[in-house]
Amino acid sequence: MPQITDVRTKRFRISPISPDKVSDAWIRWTSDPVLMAQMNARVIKVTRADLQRYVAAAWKTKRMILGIYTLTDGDHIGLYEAAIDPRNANVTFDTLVDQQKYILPNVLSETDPALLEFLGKQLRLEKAVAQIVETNAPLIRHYEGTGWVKEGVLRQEVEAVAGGRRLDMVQFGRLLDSNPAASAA
Amino acid sequence: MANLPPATFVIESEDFIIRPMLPGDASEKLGPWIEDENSAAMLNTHRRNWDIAQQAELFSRHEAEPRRRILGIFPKRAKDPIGLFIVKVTPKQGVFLLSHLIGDKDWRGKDTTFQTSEAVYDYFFNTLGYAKAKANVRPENKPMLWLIYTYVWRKEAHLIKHLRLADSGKRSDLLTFAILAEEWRNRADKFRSKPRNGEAAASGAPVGAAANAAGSR
Repeated sequence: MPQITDVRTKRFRISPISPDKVSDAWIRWTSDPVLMAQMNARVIKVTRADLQRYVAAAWKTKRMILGIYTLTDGDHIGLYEAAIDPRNANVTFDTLVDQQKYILPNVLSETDPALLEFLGKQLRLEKAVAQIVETNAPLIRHYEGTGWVKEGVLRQEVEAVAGGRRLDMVQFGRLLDSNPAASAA
Repeated sequence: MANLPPATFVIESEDFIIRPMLPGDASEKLGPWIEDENSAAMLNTHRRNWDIAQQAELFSRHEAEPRRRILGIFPKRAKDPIGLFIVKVTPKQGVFLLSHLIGDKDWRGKDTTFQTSEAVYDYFFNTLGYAKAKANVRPENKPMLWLIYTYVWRKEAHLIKHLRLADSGKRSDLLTFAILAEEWRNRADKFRSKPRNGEAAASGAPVGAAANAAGSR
């Protein structure tokens, strides 16, 4: 797993989350029924130890867990999970923003470009991918409006956590500038 | 939620046995299988003669991977396989990803893909309870696209420059196709494999002159 350093934008900081940095906010998000329904995730009672185990396991399997923090007061307001496919130099994102406090596109329109530039130029990754479940309308609208290519709709790709039906996933892709010289120019 | 395939199992069609490959199945006869580009791309490897030690290592590694199985296609009463399916399963979501290769050129264009695929779909949809089959195909793989477009697969996505090719390092697009279990169960009669009695086999075979097949990762 490559070394990840902080990525800063005008208002936010994106930092790797190690097990000792699991926040109260993250624990709270897992019991937020609106947020979990949007992500097609079950609302379950999760402890800090559960999330710490999850984080430790993720980093061992080439999945980076990155937190989004405000620069002003250090509030933890979101997550990126970035799974790296080294063979194809692709990275696949799962993204969460605490929408009780922040408007999703306001955050991601600032953090996405900085993170994508970092992944391309520092880690030499060549393509970013996101598969968004149909229930996550805010995130789908964000990707549609910020230059990602909608590459298709994967029909009935996942089981819904409630209701016994299956849900579509919308597939997005974005080629990254992986030429480090470009950032120096 | 679907079931993981067991450690050992056998799928049977009219003319073939399909089962997980074992290290002992490695053979000189498989050597030429990855000498053409589409076939090598299926295993994301370089075009070359496939030596026995590398085959055995691959089959051994996948014996221990319950979510990614390599299934050999064996003609009944024959010792050596003539092709492969690689099946990557996601039981939690009820989805399996299928790649396919008829490695032995003598068996291409002879209804092999159609007959064996039908048996594999039946096993994963009806026995193990999967809800969706997927296949990823490079746009350059015309034989496989011919097979896909003449069966009940539906195109779901065009992934731009999604693969980095092992041979050249260049990036290649990838097309994603899928069949839902219900679509497969309700497929038209012409897409159903039938025993070879009279005209049934000829009317049911979309393989025709298609040469080769190779899929995804």
